[in-house]
Amino acid sequence: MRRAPGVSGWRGADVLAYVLKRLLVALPTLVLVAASVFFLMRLIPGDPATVILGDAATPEAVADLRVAYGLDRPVLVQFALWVERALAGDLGRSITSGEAVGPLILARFQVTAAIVFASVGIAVLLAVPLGMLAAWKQNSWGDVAAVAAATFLLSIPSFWLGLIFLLVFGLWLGWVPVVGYVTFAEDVWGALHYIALPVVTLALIETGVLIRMARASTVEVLRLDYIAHARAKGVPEWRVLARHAFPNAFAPTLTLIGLIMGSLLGGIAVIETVFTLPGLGRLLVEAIFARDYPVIQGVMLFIAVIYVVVNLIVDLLYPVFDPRVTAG
Amino acid sequence: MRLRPNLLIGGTLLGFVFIVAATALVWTPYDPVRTNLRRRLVPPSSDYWLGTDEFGRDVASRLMEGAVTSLTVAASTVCVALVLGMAIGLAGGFLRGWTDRILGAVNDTLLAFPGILLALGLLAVLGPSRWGIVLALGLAYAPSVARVVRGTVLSIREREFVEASRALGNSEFYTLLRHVLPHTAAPVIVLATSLFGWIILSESALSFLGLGVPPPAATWGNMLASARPFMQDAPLLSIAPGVMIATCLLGVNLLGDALRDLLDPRDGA
Amino acid sequence: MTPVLEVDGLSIAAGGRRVVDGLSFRIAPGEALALVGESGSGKSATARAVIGLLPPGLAPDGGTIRFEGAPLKAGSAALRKLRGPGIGMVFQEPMTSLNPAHRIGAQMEEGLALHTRLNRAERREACIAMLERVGITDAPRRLEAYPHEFSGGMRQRIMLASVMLLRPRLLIADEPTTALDSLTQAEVMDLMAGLAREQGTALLLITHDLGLVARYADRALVMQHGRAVEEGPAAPLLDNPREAYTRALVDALPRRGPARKVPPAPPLIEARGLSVTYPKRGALFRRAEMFQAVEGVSLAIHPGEVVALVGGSGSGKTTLGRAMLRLVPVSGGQLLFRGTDVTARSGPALLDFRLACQIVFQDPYSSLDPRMRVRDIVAEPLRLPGGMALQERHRRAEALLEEVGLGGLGTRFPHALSGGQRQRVAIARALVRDPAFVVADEAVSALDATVRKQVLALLREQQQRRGFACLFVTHDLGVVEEIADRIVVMQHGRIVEEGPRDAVLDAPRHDYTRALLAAALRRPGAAA
Repeated sequence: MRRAPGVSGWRGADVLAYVLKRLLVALPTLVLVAASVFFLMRLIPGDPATVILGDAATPEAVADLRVAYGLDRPVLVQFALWVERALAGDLGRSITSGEAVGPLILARFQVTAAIVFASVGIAVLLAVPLGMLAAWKQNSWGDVAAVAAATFLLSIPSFWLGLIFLLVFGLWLGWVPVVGYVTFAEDVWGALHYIALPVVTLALIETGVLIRMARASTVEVLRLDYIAHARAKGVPEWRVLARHAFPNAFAPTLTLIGLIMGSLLGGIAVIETVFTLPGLGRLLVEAIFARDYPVIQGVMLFIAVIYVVVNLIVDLLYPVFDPRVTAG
Repeated sequence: MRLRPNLLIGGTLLGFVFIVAATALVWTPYDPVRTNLRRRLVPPSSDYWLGTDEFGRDVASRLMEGAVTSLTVAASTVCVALVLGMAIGLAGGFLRGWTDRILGAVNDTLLAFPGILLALGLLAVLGPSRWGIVLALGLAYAPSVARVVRGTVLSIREREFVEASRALGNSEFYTLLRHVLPHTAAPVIVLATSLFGWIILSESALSFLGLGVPPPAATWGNMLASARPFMQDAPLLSIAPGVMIATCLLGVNLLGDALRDLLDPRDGA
Repeated sequence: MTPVLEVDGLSIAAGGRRVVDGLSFRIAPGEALALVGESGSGKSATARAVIGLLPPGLAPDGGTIRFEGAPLKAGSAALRKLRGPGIGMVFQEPMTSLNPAHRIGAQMEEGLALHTRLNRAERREACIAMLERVGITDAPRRLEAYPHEFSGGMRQRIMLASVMLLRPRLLIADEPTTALDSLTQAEVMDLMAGLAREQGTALLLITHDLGLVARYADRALVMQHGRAVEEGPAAPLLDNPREAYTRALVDALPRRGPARKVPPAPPLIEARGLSVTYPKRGALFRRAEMFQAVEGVSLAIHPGEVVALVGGSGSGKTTLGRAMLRLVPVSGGQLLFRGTDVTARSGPALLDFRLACQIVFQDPYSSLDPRMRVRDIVAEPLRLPGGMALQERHRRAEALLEEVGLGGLGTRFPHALSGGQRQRVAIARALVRDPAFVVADEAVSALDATVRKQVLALLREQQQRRGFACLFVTHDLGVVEEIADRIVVMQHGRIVEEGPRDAVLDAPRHDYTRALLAAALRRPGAAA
């Protein structure tokens, strides 16, 4: 049943309820995500203590570790202990290097974050206006070309495009370094040089996905009556687009941006491998090779949490573009 | 019916990859895994159409072999994801209530991981192998299938023709089977097409990282990985496998678009 | 005097086919012209062409349109400046014609800001005054609300307000009330006519409904297949149509059928104090509130009787109809079928009841499984009594399809049929098992007038031949004149009036019934 308008009075109450609801939904998801990471690592055959210490460990060391990590206690207690430590920032120590996993992840994440956020930012700025304009000029030559280009771009594997770019701009033209990395703290200009190619590579491919999405949702919106209504009021075309069509069409694209960030974070290892960047993905892959389970566990948890948070932010931004979602 | 360039071009591209793979099953110019260290990194010639790699293996033969690997891995993975996803999605959508809530919570949790990350985690447990990849990617993408199936079932259930079936006295089970299940076919077909593309891409990415189908078996991904050190001297080694992946993906994407248009009732009018 | 609008030889093409073909008409200042026609007549395309907003796929194909003597060119700056203060337009679908992302105040103000020199405070003032004029209370606060917070009828008033704020010289209304129930429709139409009169606005009313023409138009132009069939002053045109098509449209208006005597018998189906409650959605921290859709309703239907259940949207009539078939859970009271209690039946015992009862839904587009052939749809109910061979089921289905006028169409899929044909399929499906009781839920509301007439005739003919009892659920009192023996009126989940058809129609006792009657679009002259 439709609530009589104005009866509940303060509309802010709706928005607040919506925000609280989203936050409340995110909490159990985080717990379940943590649980699946924890139990996934428990699926590894063999005793965790031996796995953590490696095959060469002495029985005494194994026994000590079992007590220290609570591995002799029931599995649910172990999970609780692990969550408690994780919340305090303690994700254990790397088996191979002995470094604390938490700070290690944070250090590597700076590289990954720079690439992911920069590429998504560039892609959004480039693709969303392009897709929307293509929709406005639906079936024109420009539109057909934009869709064809987008489909082509999203069919190119990122790591291959990266290799080709390295070949062309690194080896043949010598514009950018082929291997290595310096942090922004050391040398901003140098760091930009190192991340330029990976960012451009990823941005191009995301552009393909985003153009198609932005175009599709704008096409949907443009055939709704309120667009015709705005035109029938004599609203100039640029304003029809800028005020009525584009902002409304952006909402579904916003959701997609969240999803893209997730799949980028998950698949960042390949691009970091191509460009030999010391990022989070590279850390994960190296840990998988080294069977460094505390690191695998930590990185997976970290990326999943970031992903949940990104989606949460997307959901919280959504009402700005479509206030209907707060109606419950 | 109007001309559908998507269908035509997509079908041609994917058809090409399939023909290459089918040919490789019975014939390749050379044995794709036999090394010949005296003929390393030979440039393309009439003997070696695309040259040889760092172990003197024929690149063209390995590309053909790679097509077989990619297509079989992708097809088996799609099957695993579809069977699992349909089972979970149908159970949730049909039974509703607590079953649906529990399955839904598990499914949403798995969806909270980017698919490829979940696959990486599973591979850490399973170890790199052909079937490890199939299982890991299948499990990683099953939740998307489950979500689509469940959503379709729940929305179709609300349609009036389902209520009409109940009004006829048909049992709930018969109604679901006869009137709801067939409607999941179209979205599942469209999704399976996209899945096929994602999995080809994921498999080559994992193989590129060295976590996929292990050498010496040829895959486009591990060919790219081993070509990297020789990028300057033998750029074709880096270019050719990528072209194959891109051809395959472009074919799948165009075909997916065409299918979506064909199966979308709005466009049929 | 220069006409406000002069359309001369207008043609509109859709991919090689002409949907409007050489149409000419004019509208004098302050005059109301109705363009009447059924779906596909080209009336909406004409309206869109006048304001230069043809949807993609349609293109002008000759002819001229003049506004106050000056030719209008599609896409010209002059036309854009006229939109709003010169020509206003109200659209059919209130759910999509307001932008969901903006507060209604901002949307109403937009036109004023563009076309007038009023300052912000004056604009707000004007919006509030106009909202109050269209009957929206608490206007200053409602300006801050979003469209989704309003019902369909309210949104259509807001639309009207935002268009009439600019005092256009011509108002185009494209099926402005088709999506609303009859009571709301009358309110919105009265408002529109009143505002047009106050402001001296000429009206171009696009409608499929001759009832609206009789009441709100000075002149009418009947269209069929993109061409003008007949034009003239509204009242004479409806009273004495010259063309066969116009006559068919007029004849399609509801006409009272003969009063029948239903032989006395014990009730076939009877609701005793029946209640249905739904939980309300959306409360986060509170316990879900319950919403009473039907409150303790008692209603008996006798064998062979046609009972019309009438009410506006939200009256609970649809819920009651479903509850009497046990399609929604009953929360209180009893349902008796042939004297035995079926309220709590389930499984095989419920099946007996189901086999004897059927339903025809409102929307033939969604009530037929799009993946089944028509013959299979009609044969499906015969599966359940058991023991009938597939061939026999198909034979019976084909025979019944023949009877409802769909002979030879059994192998088609629903999407290959017209709306009327689909509704015939739905009726055949309901009747193939020879039910004792049929609920028809707004079964003809979605159809064009002439088709509605035919489907109603089919229903009545079948009812007389087979003698099933029928509960005819509708919002439109006009429709029930044709076939009802008895009328039951519902409001707020309760029955407010019931009685023999003629008694209720000719001497309504309850105010709500009177309001429904006044809103009903009945044959001119047939109204009391």
